[in-house]
Amino acid sequence: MIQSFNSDKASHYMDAVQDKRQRSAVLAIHLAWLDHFASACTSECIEPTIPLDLLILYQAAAATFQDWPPHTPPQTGHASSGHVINQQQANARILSAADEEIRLLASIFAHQVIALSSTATSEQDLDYYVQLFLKCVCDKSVIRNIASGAISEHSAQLCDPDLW
Amino acid sequence: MHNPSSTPPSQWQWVPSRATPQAPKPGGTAPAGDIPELIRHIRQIRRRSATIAEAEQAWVEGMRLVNQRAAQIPGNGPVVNDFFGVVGGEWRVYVGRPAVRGGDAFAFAFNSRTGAVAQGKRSGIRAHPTNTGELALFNFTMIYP
Repeated sequence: MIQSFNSDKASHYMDAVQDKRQRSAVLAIHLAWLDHFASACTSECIEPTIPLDLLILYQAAAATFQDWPPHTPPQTGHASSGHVINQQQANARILSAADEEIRLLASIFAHQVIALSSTATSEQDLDYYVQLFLKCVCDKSVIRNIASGAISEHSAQLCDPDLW
Repeated sequence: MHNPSSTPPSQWQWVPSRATPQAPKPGGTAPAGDIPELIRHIRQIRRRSATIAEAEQAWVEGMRLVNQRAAQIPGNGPVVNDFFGVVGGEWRVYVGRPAVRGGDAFAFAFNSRTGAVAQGKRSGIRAHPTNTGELALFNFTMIYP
């Protein structure tokens, strides 16, 4: 069972994000997490070693896509102020990604998680966040759909059941 | 556990009013009008004393028929109705597949305890606010009652 917390605040945050690109990022990471949650009994499942803060997950995804095109994050910075574990594994995982754009985005995302975790009530498993993010954007069309805001726009159209 | 796919067609089966499927709306694959009509049918049969299990069976068979009708339209994609799972211990949820990669999809849910029927989006399936490790439905609209 995948443990998480701050789900109520995270849900409110998801409903409140207005910017199309950031909203697309939040929806995409949520749906990746949901796929993950639903497959929790399969061998493909990855689980955090400690409960996941969903609010950090959504806010980090939104912040990753706040500026477009993305800027290279600083090499040092939040590392010492974060409240995370498994940082080395996360860094190695990011470096092993084959695609340069995905590496850049995952690096920005990791920096955001570290920064947001500094005020978290408990430590966060950075490697799990990064795994989830990489699963979300491994298909590069997802990145394009986030950047263009297409995911948010399409979701808003789904009040018409003809578009099932 | 109730298994809709193993049950023979019932008196509650949906029969499309249009013999010929209409072209899908842009961005969709279902013949235009079919799924709104199926949803109205589900509401009507619940009002006419179909049980929640019978309504769910009518939904599954109806969506299968919508998919068959969609396949009659050249170059058209499938209409998927995947069983997502049981949410909150009582909502049996079906979902479509996203038309946009990484994106949202429709969801349709049957409450096996209360008999309610609701529609929403996949993004409305979220972590339960208080029960850790469980999911709950958010922003779903009641179809019945």
